[in-house]
Amino acid sequence: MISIALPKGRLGNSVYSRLAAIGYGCPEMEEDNRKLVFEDAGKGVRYILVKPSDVAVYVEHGAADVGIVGYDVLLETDPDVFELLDLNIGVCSVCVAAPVGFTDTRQAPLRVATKYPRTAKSHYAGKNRAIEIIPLHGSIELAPIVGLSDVIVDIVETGTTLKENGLEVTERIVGSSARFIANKSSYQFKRASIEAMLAGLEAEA
Amino acid sequence: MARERGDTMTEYVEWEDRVTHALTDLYRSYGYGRYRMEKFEPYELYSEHKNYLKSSVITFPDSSGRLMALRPDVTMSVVRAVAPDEELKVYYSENVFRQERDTQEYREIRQIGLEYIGGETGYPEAETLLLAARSLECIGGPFALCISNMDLVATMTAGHTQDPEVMKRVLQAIRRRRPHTLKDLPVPEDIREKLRTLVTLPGRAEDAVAALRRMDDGSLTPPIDELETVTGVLEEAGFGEQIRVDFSILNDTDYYNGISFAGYMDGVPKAVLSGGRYDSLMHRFGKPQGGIGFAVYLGELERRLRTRPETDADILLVCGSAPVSEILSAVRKLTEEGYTVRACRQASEGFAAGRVIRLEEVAE
Repeated sequence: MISIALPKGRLGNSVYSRLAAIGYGCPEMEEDNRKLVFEDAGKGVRYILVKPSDVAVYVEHGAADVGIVGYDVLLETDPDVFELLDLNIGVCSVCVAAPVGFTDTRQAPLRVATKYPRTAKSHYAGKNRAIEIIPLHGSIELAPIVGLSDVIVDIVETGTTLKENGLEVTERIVGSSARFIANKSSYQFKRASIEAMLAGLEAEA
Repeated sequence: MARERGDTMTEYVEWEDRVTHALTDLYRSYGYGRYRMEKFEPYELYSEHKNYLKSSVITFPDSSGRLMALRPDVTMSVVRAVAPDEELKVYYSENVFRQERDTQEYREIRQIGLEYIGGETGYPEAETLLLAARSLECIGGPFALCISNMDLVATMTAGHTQDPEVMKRVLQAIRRRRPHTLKDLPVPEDIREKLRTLVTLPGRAEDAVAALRRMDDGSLTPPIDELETVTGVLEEAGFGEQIRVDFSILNDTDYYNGISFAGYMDGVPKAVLSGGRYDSLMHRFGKPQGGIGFAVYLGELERRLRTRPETDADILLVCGSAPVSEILSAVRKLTEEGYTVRACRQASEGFAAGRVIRLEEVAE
């Protein structure tokens, strides 16, 4: 049995379709229900649906053997897992965005609203710029509009949301996309199953 | 070491005592002496070598205001105590204290292990790895012992990556098995290809060594020879099924060199054994001789016992219409690896197996 942690939402659905196409389908998953664990003993797979930012936690602690997670989350949480494949889906960038026309006068610490505090700290430490982190969990774009922060560090896919809120990208920190990760111990004992799945995903990618 | 199903915490403690005795008896039988050390040490001993420890040291002032540390590590303590050129074989069973960098939590970690300091190269590696494999065998259940050679990576990248940032990315790619990140590394194409080989080495030790030989231009022969020698020793001792050549377990390059290894147990998410040659650490403390050793982390095993599901067998092997001889050979292979196995034609409800696998998956 191989346990797969899938992120709830669009990315998870898209990866599940790929897995189903290469023989890891689980009919229960396709029904309209609120279950979070799905199993197909015959195919030897179990799916666990979790919050996208928690996927790597499940995998690192061995509650799932493999998982699908964005590189942005891996960079932020630095889990001790194998990162076996770049699936080239869910492509986006972690960026600094500011209100259109904003200039950093460097006269005070820059207030940065973000759900990526570690990534933001490391980015500004590299530029020797003092910052104040304002940790948020959602609607990050709101922060500069209401004066909560000067800039934001967030993922940007098309930039439409930023534009609609009067913000623009001022710096691109790093590119991100979905990665296929595995628990280091599971990999030693279920290597054949994990590699078969990896090969299937690679062929589909 | 056999365990009854449904262990309680008390039984775990008893089991831990039995394993501790079995391990220390094993090390004594190879002539290792018991090493004891103080729990409290001056902090300055550790402040210069913060990178060696992956966690933070727990500190407190003593009555005279001197900053003290709760012992965070055993190896460093042994390295400091040994005389230059002294040959020393010691084992220990101690608790170490660390503060996790991410969660800031204080942790007390049980470590049992050994250090082989001095001696010629060759035999210390063979003996230490053999004892590491025997230690995992003592604990009981299926295990994997992953072995790498840090000298191979150092030789391969020498002269191509003086930039520490690039070296960090090279090591990350190897440790995390990230083949897709290699294309962005500013290294020559032939080095990139060699790194790709390292990141995607096959599972069986013999196949992995053959793959390393194919990429060898002559400069890598000594570290590959060394790997082949130690894997040969372990195969002869009957651990052929459990050993892997795997570079993802590379240690910190500032302190470790040469053979480096880690042990995993099925059902335990993190490595339960970690070790390697640490001549660089010895030299940093002004000791000219080399050293090699390992530690077993029994605490990691506690969770497996606590969360171990009630199962009828470790593996339910679904065989379909495969020939009898193939089924028998698969069952034999799995039982030799330490699993309990039930073979059946198709998966059925009502049988609690640790995991279900198909016959084709045993082929590797």
